[in-house]
Amino acid sequence: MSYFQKNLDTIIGYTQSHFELVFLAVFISLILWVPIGIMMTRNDKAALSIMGIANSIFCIPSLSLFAVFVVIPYLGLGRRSALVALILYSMMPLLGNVYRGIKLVDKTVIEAAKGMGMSARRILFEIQLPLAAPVIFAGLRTTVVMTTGIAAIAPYIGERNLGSIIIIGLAQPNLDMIVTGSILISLVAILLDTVMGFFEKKVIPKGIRISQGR
Amino acid sequence: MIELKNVTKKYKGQVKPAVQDLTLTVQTGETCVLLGPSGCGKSTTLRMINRMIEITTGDILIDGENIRDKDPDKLRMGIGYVIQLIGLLPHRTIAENIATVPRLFGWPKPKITARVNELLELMGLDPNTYRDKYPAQLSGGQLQRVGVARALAVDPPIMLMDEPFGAVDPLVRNRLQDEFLRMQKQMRKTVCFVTHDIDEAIKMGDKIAIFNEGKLVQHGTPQEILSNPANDFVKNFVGADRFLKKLNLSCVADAVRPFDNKITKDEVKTYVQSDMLLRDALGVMFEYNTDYLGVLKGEEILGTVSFHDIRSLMSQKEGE
Ligand SMILES: Nc1ncnc2c1ncn2[C@@H]1O[C@H](COP(=O)(O)OP(=O)(O)O)[C@@H](O)[C@H]1O
Ligand SMILES: [Mg+2]
Repeated sequence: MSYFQKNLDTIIGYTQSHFELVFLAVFISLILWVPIGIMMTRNDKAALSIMGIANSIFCIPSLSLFAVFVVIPYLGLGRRSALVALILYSMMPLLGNVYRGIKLVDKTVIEAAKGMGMSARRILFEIQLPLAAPVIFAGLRTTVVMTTGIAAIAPYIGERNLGSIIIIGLAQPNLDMIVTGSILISLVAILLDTVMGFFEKKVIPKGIRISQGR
Repeated sequence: MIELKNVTKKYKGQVKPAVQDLTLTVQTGETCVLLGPSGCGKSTTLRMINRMIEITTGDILIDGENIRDKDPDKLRMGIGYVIQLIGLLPHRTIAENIATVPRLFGWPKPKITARVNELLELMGLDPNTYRDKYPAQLSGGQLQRVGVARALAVDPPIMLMDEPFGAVDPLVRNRLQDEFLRMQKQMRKTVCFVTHDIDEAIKMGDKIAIFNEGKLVQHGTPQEILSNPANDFVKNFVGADRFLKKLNLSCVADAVRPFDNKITKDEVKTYVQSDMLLRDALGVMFEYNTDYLGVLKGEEILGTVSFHDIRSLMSQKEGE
């Protein structure tokens, strides 16, 4: 623990930078993947190809994916490449769950709503999204935890965050640093997941919790 | 009035149309039952009326106006729609579910609340108990009542009902049918009611339209269909006991005659009320092992009904 005590300022800086990267990546992913996921529910053929792409990207090892973007001029070494990679990783859990969540909504409910004269827009916002909320939220939680973990690899391409502590610790080698880095990253992931769990309770409609016996 | 004129529906990739050259008129205030085996095109027909499905060729007019000329959402807001699996919104309370269409019309809150309470009472559900419950907390029969209440919310002149009571047990189904008939007697809505159950069709319909393989094979009153089936398909579909089924369409009052010197008051072993169905009256005759029943209307003696009278009434062909 001596490393922790001696380098508190550096660690605070790393933590801040880690949070920044995670928040940016998740924020942009939400803006991007939620609308695309919704649009995919209206075109099954396109949805199939897009999900194929998402799955393939998910299979690429993170270090390789980071490295690929480094050679692209505008992206280069540093945060931009890391962001792009993280956003692409979140395609699978986030885009996938938005798509699946909406597709899983009971067809009868949609049929009845349409039959009463609800517009497609109203059906989306008042029925499909609320009913898909548990599945979408599960995807979001996975995305946040996963992004926190993968972001720790980003120091290999010039980003500086909690991952740096582990990477430097491994190079020296310094067991104290490796342990400190690992624990901190895990704590961040657990903290974020707990906060998300708290929000989930607020977002998911009461009627759904009742029908699922929660 | 709903008029279907030479309506054909061919789904993508279908060789034989689901509905073929259908011409059918449903008069205002009339309940028309669309009857036929599974897959004969009943639901397709119903769903073309509120444009859930677009017509391939032909026209549908509602009160003289072509439904093609209307905005589909607006058209549907003005037509009650009840389906077998109900499709209540699981994340909304019962009150919110019933308020769906009033909300689309932008009714003020107090008016919506009052209407929801009124409908719940009409359906025999205590508003205080059920308003704030969620669909998952209700029984099948109660859910189906809410489904009907929701469709009635803005008092639409037309109701489309697709096997609305198909998913509940026979006892509850019977009660829901009776309740709907009682309401319909006052509401006099124009109703299209889909079922594959001949007994339900006879009970609910002012008119029955029988379908086979996308084509209308017979359209008439339950009496006409039971008495004069148009072809072998209808004859088979209504069943060998079609004359017994007619016993459900008439009551004792239709066959009563005054006592005369052939049948005297002394000969009757028991009395029945004049509004008893003939089927039940026959049951009473079997029970008492008699050919004659006395007929009462309340306390007043109307006369008698005999086994012979019932038999000749039932064997009459239509247009006697
Ligand atoms: N959306 C659809 N796409 C293709 N074929 C359909 C569709 N809906 C119904 N059909 C076909 O059309 C025919 C009539 O179906 P339907 O109107 O649902 O019958 P019913 O309600 O009398 O059981 C059936 O052969 C059915 O398979
Ligand atoms: Mg059907």
